[in-house]
Amino acid sequence: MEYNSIKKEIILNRILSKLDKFVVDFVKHIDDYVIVSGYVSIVTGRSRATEDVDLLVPKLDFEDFKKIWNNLNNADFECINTLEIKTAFEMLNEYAIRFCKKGRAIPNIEFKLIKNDLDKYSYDNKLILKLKNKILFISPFEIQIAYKLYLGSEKDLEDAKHLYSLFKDKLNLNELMKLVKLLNVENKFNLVK
Amino acid sequence: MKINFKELEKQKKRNFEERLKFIEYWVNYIKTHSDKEWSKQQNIVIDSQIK
Repeated sequence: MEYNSIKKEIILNRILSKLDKFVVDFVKHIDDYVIVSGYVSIVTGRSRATEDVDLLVPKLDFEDFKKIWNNLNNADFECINTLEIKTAFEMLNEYAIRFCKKGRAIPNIEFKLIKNDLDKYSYDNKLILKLKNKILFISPFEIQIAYKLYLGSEKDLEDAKHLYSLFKDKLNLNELMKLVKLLNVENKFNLVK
Repeated sequence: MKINFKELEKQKKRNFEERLKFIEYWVNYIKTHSDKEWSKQQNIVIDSQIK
């Protein structure tokens, strides 16, 4: 695995898991997105499973959403929350909606609009992950570590530990500390460094 | 049944510390082995949940 923090690029020659294939298959239909949270740790090697992958998209108008919805539908994906496109679009303004392969609830994509400054930070500073000949956009590690510390469950702290230990030589430590302070998690940071 | 919460809490803490140590060990494995090697092992865990 090669991480070039200047180019914001990771080259990863891993054997694709079923989860990777699911994610790659899904994002083919989304032009503009960033993947955040657990999958960022998992795709870079964290040894745990997950039932969902969190994906953030910029605000969509109904026509853009309809295009994505139809493409996903044609590619054998379905929305877990509702089969009605208008209902799904309305829900999206308030909640995440989930997509899975038809008839299989796990794994699924938690599809959310960018809503706050943390989401926007991940999107604006996203990394390019070259996964064999596929490309995924993932959240930068500094915000992932700080946010996982903020969430604070044992699983989240372990995710933060994984990312910090794996990339500590390449992280922007000033930026990381800024985010750690912003989220008020200095005490938890001591656990993972 | 009597439950010793102090002892349980100690066990929980120890268990978490051991898992953090394993993460360090596993990260070192990732750094010193090819992507193919470590991902082959990791996929056993990930794929076990997916049909």
